[in-house]
Amino acid sequence: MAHFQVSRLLNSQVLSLELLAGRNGLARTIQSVDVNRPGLALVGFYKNLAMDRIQVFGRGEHSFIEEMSEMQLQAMRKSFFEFAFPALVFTHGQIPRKEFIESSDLTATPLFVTRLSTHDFIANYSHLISEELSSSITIHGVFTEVFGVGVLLTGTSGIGKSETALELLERGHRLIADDMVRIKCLSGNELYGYANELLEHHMEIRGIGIINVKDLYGVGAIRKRKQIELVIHLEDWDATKEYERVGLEYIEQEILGTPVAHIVLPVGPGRNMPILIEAAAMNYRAKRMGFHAAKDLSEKIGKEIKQKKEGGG
Amino acid sequence: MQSVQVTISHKDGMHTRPSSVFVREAAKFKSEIFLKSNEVSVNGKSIMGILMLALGPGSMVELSAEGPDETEALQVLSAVLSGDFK
Repeated sequence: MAHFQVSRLLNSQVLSLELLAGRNGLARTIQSVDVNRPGLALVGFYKNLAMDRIQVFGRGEHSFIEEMSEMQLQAMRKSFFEFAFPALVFTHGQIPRKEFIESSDLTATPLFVTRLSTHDFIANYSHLISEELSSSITIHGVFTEVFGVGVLLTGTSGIGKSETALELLERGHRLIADDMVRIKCLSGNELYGYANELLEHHMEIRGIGIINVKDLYGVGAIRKRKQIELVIHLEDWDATKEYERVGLEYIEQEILGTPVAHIVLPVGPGRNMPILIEAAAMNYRAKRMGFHAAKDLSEKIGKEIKQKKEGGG
Repeated sequence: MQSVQVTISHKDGMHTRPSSVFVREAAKFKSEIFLKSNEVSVNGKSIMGILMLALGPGSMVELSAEGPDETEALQVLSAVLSGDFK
């Protein structure tokens, strides 16, 4: 199971968190995308407490703690901090009482405050964590955006994936990742491809070496991430193999358990790969928009045959 | 498929120069070469993959080869990683 270290929450600008206490607990990990509002725990009801989630203190929880008597507060601190929560977050920029902060430090429970409203914080947090915790794999390939379609090029080393991508860039398309593509499955059925953070925008072209696509082709030529819609596998032309001739439907390939359209393009003399990939991407777009060339032609021919049969008797 | 655990002993880790030596040597073999560190496995014939692992001095990596010349590949390539390659 993937996990996310609490310290990394501080890097996220959308959460705008500030650490108040419990620095020693920053190595704790988050394994759940859910959050918990600890209202019931504050009044001493701990049954079924979701202790593996971060605890979000909104206006209600904050004012409840404010109005506790010294004795109540002490009792609450004693039992509440027994649980090794991944983190505690106060929203609306509200700072809790100093006794509460002390307990966080003593038990090494990271305590944060954010200026966001509870709703905004939870929405941003869920989005961030579900992306971070989703299953991911890294595969060998080049990921490009062609006419707005996320096209993942795969094939053996040296088949010309990077060279093809370079020509696609020259033709105004975009690069997301070269060589190593990190793929994540988000919201259960959408595949997204990313570049490795260290290598992003860099490409290796045999004979030239490593180039920086952003510097050479500009910011318009790159993208951070993109949904993978079409996988194009490049392979050496094999005369004994049958390639798709009609294209009535896509063969699907599974990545991380999610089906994605897949085509095999043979590489051979006189086959200009970038143009073929553009055509495949455009055809994919057309199909998605309801214009299906193979199906339309097939229907037209079916009608023609039927007419001839009826006419000719 | 054969594999060995290798410790990186280049004093600066696997930066661009040793990595390029590695891919140059790896490309001479017919076998598929993989390097694995921290659960991330990369193609040993791709310099970008090796750079991505950002292997520091002293880090452990699993080197594996699969193909007709896998034994020789492991011998040569583990020497490159451990810095004994001349």
